[in-house]
Amino acid sequence: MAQVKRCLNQWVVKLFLESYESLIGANMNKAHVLMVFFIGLVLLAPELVTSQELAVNSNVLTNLKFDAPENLADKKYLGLHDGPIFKLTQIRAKFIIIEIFSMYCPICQRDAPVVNELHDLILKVPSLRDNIKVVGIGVGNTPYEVSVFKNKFNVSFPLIADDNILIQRALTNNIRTPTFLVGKLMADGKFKIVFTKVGAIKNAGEFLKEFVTASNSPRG
Amino acid sequence: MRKIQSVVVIMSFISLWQLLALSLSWGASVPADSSIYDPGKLKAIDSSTKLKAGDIAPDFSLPSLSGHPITLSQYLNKKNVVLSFVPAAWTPVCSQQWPGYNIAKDLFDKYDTQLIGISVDNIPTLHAWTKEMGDLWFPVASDFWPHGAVAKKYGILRSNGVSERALFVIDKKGVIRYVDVHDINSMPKLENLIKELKKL
Repeated sequence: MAQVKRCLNQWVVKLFLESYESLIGANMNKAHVLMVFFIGLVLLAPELVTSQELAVNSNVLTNLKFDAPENLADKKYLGLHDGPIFKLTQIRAKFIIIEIFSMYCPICQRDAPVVNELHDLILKVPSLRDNIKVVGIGVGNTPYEVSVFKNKFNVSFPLIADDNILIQRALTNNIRTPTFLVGKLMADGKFKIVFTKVGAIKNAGEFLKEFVTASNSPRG
Repeated sequence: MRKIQSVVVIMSFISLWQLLALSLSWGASVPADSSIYDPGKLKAIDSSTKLKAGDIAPDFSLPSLSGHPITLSQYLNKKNVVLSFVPAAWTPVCSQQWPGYNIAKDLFDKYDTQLIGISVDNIPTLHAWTKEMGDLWFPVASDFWPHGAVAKKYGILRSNGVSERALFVIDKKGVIRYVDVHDINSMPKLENLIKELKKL
C-alpha cells in the first residue's frame, strides 16, 4: 500500500512538474514549482479537515419525524402543538442544540451533569433562553429507557426516544455518542447546521462560547 | 495551444488531488471509542438452550471482580436474581448494556433483585473493560475457566466459545421465571426485563 502511494505521488509530482515546465515554457525552477505544489496542498487542507469532522445532511434532518414527548412541560418548552409526531424544525427557537445520546452510553452518563449545566446557563440569560432550545435524542432507546436516563440525571430539557435510529440517516458518519449538533432554523423552514461536536462537553461555558462564535461567523 | 493543454493538465491534477484527499478522508474513521472492536453482524443465535421458565436454575460458583466467588445458591430465599450473560468484553453492544443497568439500580432494588453480570472473559480483562463503564453496583463473574462452563450449563455457549447475549430471571426459590436468549447483535429492551421483575 505504501509503495503504491509512493509511486502515485512520484507520478503526480512528475506530471505536475512537466505541465508546469511547459506552461512557463522556459527554464524550470524546481523551488518555484515545489512552492506552488505546497500552496496547493495548503489550499486543499481545509477540505480534508472538514470532511473528517461530522457530516450532517440538513435536508434529511429537516424531514425526520420523531415521537413527540408525552410530558406536557416538554411539549410546551419546545413549542409543539398536539400530535404524536414532530419534526425538529417545528421547535420554536432560532437555534436548537441537539444532543445525540444513549441511556446505555457511559460517556453520556458522565457528561449528563455538564449538559444540564449548559441548559441551566441558557435558561439564566433571557436572550439565550428565548432563542435556544436544547433537546436530547436517545439513539436506539425506547421512551422507557430515555425516561430512566432523564430521572437518574434530573435532565430538565426534553429527551426524545429514537428507537429506530432515524437520526443516523442525517449523518454520513457512524453515530458516536454523545454528539452535539447545533441547527439554525432558516426562513425557508430548513435547518442549517452551524456547529457540531463529537464527544463529551468538558465545559458548558466554553461550549456555549464556541457555538455562539461559530453561529455569528460569516459561514454560520 | 500548448499552454491551454498544460492548463488542462494542471486542472486535472488538482481535481485528482481533491478526489484523493476526499477518498482518504472518507476512509478515515474518527478515533474515540477506538478500543471497541467491531465484530460486524453476527449470527443472531448460535446455540439452543433447553432451559425454560419453570425449571430449576443450575447452580454455579464463579470468581468475580471483587475477589469473592459468586454462588447462585447464596441468594436462595433472599433475593431474586437476574443473570446477564454478555458475549465478550470490548465488543460494541455489551460495552453499553451493563452501563445501562448501572443507572437502573433503583428498579432492580424495587423488585428485590440482584443483578449478576457474567462473561467468558478472564478477570483482568473484565477489570479493564468494566472500569470504562464507571463503578458498577452489581457483581461481575468470570466464566473463563473451565472455559464457558456455566454458559454451557445454561445451554448458551456459542460455537466460537463466547456466550449468547442472554437474560435469566430467577426467583427466590431458585426457579427460572424468564429466559431471553437475545439476538447477539442487539440490545434487550430494559422495560421488557423490568416487566418480568414486576411479575415476581
